[in-house]
Amino acid sequence: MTLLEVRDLCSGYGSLQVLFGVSLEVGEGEVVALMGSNGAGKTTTLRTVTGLLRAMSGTVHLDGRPVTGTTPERLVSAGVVMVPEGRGMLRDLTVAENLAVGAYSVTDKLQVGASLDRVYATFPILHERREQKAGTLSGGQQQMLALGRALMASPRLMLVDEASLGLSPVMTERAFSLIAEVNRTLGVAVLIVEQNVLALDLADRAYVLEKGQVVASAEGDAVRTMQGRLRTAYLGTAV
Amino acid sequence: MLSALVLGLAYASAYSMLALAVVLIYSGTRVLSLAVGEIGAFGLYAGLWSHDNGLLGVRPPVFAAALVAMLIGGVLGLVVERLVMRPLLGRPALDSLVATLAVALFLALLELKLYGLDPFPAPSPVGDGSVEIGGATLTVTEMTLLGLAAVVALGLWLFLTRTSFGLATRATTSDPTVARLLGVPVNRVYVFSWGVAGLLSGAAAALLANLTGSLTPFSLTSALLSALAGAVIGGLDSLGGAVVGSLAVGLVNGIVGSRVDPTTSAGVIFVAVLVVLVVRPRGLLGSARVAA
Repeated sequence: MTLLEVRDLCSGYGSLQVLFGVSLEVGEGEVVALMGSNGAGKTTTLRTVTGLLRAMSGTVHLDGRPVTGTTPERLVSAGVVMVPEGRGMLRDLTVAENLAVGAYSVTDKLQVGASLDRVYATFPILHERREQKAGTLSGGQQQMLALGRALMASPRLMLVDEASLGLSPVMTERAFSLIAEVNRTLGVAVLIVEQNVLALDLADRAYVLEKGQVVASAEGDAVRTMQGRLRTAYLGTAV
Repeated sequence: MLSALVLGLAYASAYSMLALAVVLIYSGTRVLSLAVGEIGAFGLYAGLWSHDNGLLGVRPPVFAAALVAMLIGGVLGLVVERLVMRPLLGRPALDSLVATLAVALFLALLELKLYGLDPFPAPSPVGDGSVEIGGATLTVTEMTLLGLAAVVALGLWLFLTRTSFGLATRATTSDPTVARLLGVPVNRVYVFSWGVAGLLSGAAAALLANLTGSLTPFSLTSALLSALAGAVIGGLDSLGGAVVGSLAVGLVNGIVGSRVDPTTSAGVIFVAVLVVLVVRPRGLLGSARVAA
């Protein structure tokens, strides 16, 4: 069943239009990759879906209900949480406090406790470093904290913005495998927005964004074919 | 030396209230609020006036003036956020800065209109007593103020570190966009920050008026300049920095001001501000984003 459905989304900044009719879908429990080079409109898509930016036209549906023009706060309560670009550390807060902020929208204390146990079990290093300021963590640990913090809201869908940004190739691979693990073990659907073609390894479905439009999409085995094509085409051969 | 030190600390505690108000608003919204001096002064005027003239047939005691100042300051902060600052969210920082200046001028002129230009007497609620310690004379007022400032700072610290909404406030001051994406209702944090800033402003007004014995329009705005110096030295988005910077400014005021003269101490303070801006623009404890 379709969890998130984006239809003909147009958006931008002031009079500068960046998205020209973007449509995409994320099914329950799926990993979907939205690929594109710098300036293709990937982050703009996420910012519009979460309500940080107002859509010029087009719709966003969650579970078939319209959520176009919602606020990020309400979307989190509805089960959609974003892992921001650059990992979005609250640097002056400790690891434990970052996780607590991730659970801010959850009122059920027992549920928060259970989420915390699960996050610490998945990422033991976060438990070890729980009293440390988030700004002092390594890039890889910050990526774990960003994912763990998103999980504190018990989401059904995670929007991951450029997890690979600023990470070494080894750490990027590890970040992707963490995302795959979260998806597999917890059944959380993931929309992963990337320029790194390795992201396609995880994807059940993929879209390619260029100049604010979806220019290609693929599903299942065709995603692998797309990966080969993208590797040699405009995304470059990095990695 | 000891009496200069205590006087400096008393000033420092008032400046730190104002600096905390500035930082609380700045770190969440990136708005430098020039209104947080006069907001408290307006509240204190109302408090002192009701002490003199009675309110609904009751004459509240003079210590209640401070509470009234905090209460009215807090409410005024909420009103200013909702009516003036909220519509300006996302606009260039200069728009908001000018708006806060306009609020400060409006309030100061309203005070002038309502209460006149003559200093409004602000009698000390604890009387004019003093004690002698080690050859220095310390007034009861100064010592009470120090205790009061410590209580307010402790209360703010407990709120920020021990409550869920305090955590949301710190998350918002750390990065408002990330906080929103995690489900923190940042608009509620903003309105609350202005409310608390107004409260602090009222407390600062009461502290300063008791030190000088009177209240005049613009007096809190001029104190705000010293507090701003403290906030810049400490780092505009660091609550700890606000306290540290204000302590430095207050102590220089107290010691250099009484040993040499007030003009020299002001000179020292603003040279320090310039040095900080050139050498370490983020301030002693501020984050790199301040300088960006």
